[in-house]
Amino acid sequence: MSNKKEHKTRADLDREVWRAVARLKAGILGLVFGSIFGIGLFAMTAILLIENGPNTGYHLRLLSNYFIGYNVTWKGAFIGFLWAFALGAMIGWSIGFIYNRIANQKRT
Amino acid sequence: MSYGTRCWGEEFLLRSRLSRIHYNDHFFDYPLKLTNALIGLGIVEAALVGLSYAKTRLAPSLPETTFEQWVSNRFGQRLYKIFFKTYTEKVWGMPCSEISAEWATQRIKNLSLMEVLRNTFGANGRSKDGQVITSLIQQFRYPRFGPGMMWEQFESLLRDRGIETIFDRRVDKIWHRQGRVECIGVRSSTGETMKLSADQFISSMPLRNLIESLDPTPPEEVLRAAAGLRYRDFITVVLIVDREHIFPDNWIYIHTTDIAMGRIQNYKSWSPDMVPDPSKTSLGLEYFVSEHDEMWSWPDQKLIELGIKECAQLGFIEPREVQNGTVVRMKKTYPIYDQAREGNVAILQNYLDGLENLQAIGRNGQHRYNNMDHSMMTGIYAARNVVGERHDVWVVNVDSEYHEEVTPDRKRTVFAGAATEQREEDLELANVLRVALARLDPVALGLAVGIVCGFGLFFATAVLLLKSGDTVGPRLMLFQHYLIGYRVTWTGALVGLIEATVVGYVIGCVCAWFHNSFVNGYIFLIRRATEAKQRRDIL
Repeated sequence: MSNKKEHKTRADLDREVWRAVARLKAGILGLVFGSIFGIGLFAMTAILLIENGPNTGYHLRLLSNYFIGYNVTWKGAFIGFLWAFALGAMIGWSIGFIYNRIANQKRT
Repeated sequence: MSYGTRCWGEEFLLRSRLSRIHYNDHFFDYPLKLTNALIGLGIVEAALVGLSYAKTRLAPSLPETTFEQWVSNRFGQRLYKIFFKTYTEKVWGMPCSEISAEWATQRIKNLSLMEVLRNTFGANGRSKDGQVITSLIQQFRYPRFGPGMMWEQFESLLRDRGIETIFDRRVDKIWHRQGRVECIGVRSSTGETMKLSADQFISSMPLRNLIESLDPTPPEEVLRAAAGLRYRDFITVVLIVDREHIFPDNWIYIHTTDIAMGRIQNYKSWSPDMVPDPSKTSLGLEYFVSEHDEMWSWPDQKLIELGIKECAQLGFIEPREVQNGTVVRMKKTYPIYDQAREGNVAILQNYLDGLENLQAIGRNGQHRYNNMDHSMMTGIYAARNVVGERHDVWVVNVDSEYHEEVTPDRKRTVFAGAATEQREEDLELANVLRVALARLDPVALGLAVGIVCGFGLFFATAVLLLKSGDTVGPRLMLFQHYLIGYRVTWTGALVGLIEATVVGYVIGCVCAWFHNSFVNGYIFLIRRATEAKQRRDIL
């Protein structure tokens, strides 16, 4: 620790706390988004399956355009969980990564 | 372990603090507690207090130059009149409208963010510089036979090292030449005079007397400033009461107007050993007066009779229980914070800066309403200065950062020693807080969310276009309701990329703004709460 740092006054420390800009943990953000997306899609699929009405999951099954193997079935729910988790993780990580890069760039 | 505990060990007792306010036959907790105060005042008065507070908050009295304005703006005019006006005017002998707001601000300093957070996150009621935040004290250390034990101990330590302490000498003259004090002239109570020379001089005598004792005489402006300093004097009437227990408080503040007594203290509550016979109680009745008041020269017996009468009137004792009494008169107990004090002290401080081997310390030495701990700290700094360190004795209890380095244009600076450990702790705390309370960068979050949204929609569109089919993306196309010009076509994908980026940017910015607002709001609330706690202890 430098001497300069040791001689920071209370006002300096106050200012530093006030000015501190958060950094996002991209990995953790990815995990959070992935979990929400994955569990969310699994739950939505499961609810439709439990309700078991006519034309079950007519709209939700359109996700198969993006999630190969996904369908509104119990098996599809698990496959959907994996896909949605991966997509959410990618989105969360991307937001964290891009945010940190821009925040660091502005800082320097 | 504190210095006191190290020095006196078991002689330094851990005592509970209890102080109350007596007003109109009711006792109120002190420091003030809102619920207790409102219950004690009754529903109607409480409602009026609330209205008065709301009125003052809506239209505060500005600029705040007097104590009356300062307190009214924070508590409301009605509560000010009940809990502050009468007692403060008893203490100072002048209307609150003539007392400087400086007195209030010195006692309740603006809290730094660090101090607030330290307090909130459990720093045991200590501010950043290690001082105890007085309003949070529940227990304190007290010498078994009173603070005099400390001075006796210091004298004994000096004696052990062959250093003589001379008592019973009044300083009459201070001779100085070329920016240095050369010697002082002292007189004993028997009239014996002598001259004492030294390399360094530390003065705790009243600042006014110090200036008036200087030879050669200081310039007229300095003498005028010294003469402008005003003091409040103090009479203690001590009663020995033949009762084991009267009340548990250390102090009771007497706000009731028809009682002349300002405060009453129970020495037994400070330390049971201060009253040698446990079946008796010793009460100290405090009267705030001025030397020129008629009461100052009353015979002791008359003062004792007044004390007995007022104690009985308050319901504490029966007059027949009083076995004995004595009176102690103390001149210049409080420096008066009138509107001229600050300017006068500045002039004197500036003049004394020119005497390089003279330091003024203590409450009277600096004409500042320091508590005992702050006064002792000025003495410790002065002693360290004598051995070559550089501390500013004048900034104790003025600048909350008095342990930090100050600019070189001031002659005395820096107290590092004991503060070093504290400072490292502060740095660690600051590092934690920097993470815990960091704000989100709205632009960065906006761009991040915007880019992800934009490219997300672009890729979603592209996937459908690459798959193609009879009708491509009828559902995805529904986005055109929100994104003007968007279609599931390659052109539409580019339009969607741009528009979704903009929408994502706005969403990201708003999220960051909300997050930051919540952090700021949280800090604001805990700061307000901490400041309110301190204000309760202003008397």
